Amino acid sequence: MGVSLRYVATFFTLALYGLVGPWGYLVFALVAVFPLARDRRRRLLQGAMRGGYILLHTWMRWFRLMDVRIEVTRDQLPSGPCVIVANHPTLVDVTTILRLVPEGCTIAKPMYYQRWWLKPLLKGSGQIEGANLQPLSAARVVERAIERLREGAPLVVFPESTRTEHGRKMPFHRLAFEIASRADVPVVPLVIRCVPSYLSKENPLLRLPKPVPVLTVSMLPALDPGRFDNDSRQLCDRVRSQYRELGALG
Amino acid sequence: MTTTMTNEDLDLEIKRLIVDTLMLEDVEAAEIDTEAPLFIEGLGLDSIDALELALAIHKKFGVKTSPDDERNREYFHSVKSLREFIQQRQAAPAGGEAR
Repeated sequence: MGVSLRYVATFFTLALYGLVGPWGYLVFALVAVFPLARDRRRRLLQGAMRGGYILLHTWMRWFRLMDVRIEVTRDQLPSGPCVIVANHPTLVDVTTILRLVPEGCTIAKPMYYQRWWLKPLLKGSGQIEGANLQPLSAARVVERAIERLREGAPLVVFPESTRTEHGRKMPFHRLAFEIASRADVPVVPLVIRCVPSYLSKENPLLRLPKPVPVLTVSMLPALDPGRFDNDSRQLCDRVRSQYRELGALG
Repeated sequence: MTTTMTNEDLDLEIKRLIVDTLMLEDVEAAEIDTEAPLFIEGLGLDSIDALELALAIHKKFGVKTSPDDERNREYFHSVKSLREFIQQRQAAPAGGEAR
């Protein structure tokens, strides 16, 4: 399929999303208010999200927009709760990780979490609202994340908070490592690569690269916070250096 | 904290507390600009640093902060605003706890 046909496929995808998307969110909103036990509702919404992500990735592969390859299996991840961290090169990183761990819990930016059409889905599926601009609002996030880890859900965090910008020194936040240290659960670093770059800050949706981008997800060995005296600084520094060595940060 | 402490002395104590608590490398307490923002720009502290700093302030000055206080952003803006917050709480009859 040539680039011009891929452009047509991209516009078609956007149009379809515009037409079908609102109905999908309406269904999520109905499930969210339907009188169901919290866990059952959560599983239903997580299952629906995973199905949606599989559909999205399949669609993108068929129309040669992107080929998503997850090189990690669920069995390779720790069996108990853990904090999964990842670099964040593209717009579809969350969808890729939640396909791998549908029961995973993410920390959503308040500006997304508070959108009326997204909130029922995010809240109902057990996602956590991130810290706002109040300096101490992270306390609530840490508390809620530890609660979710104790319920057995893996936590998914992008320490850079936003998509990686190449050539810019991005902050690499300690939040994920502080949560792992306090909850005493392993940190699992995932490495996401997209070659050639696409859906990044530099290469947005309508700048299709050639050849078809391949997004891969691989895993580094899990780190036990106990080995770092449960010190989130040391743990954060270690993971940051690992990503830097791999050239996976900005 | 003695009442004879000047604003400059208290500013320096806060700066030392920031450097020691947050283990800031390559930053001298005296070099921190009293009015510069502490978060993102300026010193570039993050949300977990804020939690650690709040705990350290409570231990050192006996002043408690509430995560739900909408004025936290204002209090934690700079060394100067932190100093004013500490002084205000220490002066309030039912405010900060005595050290």
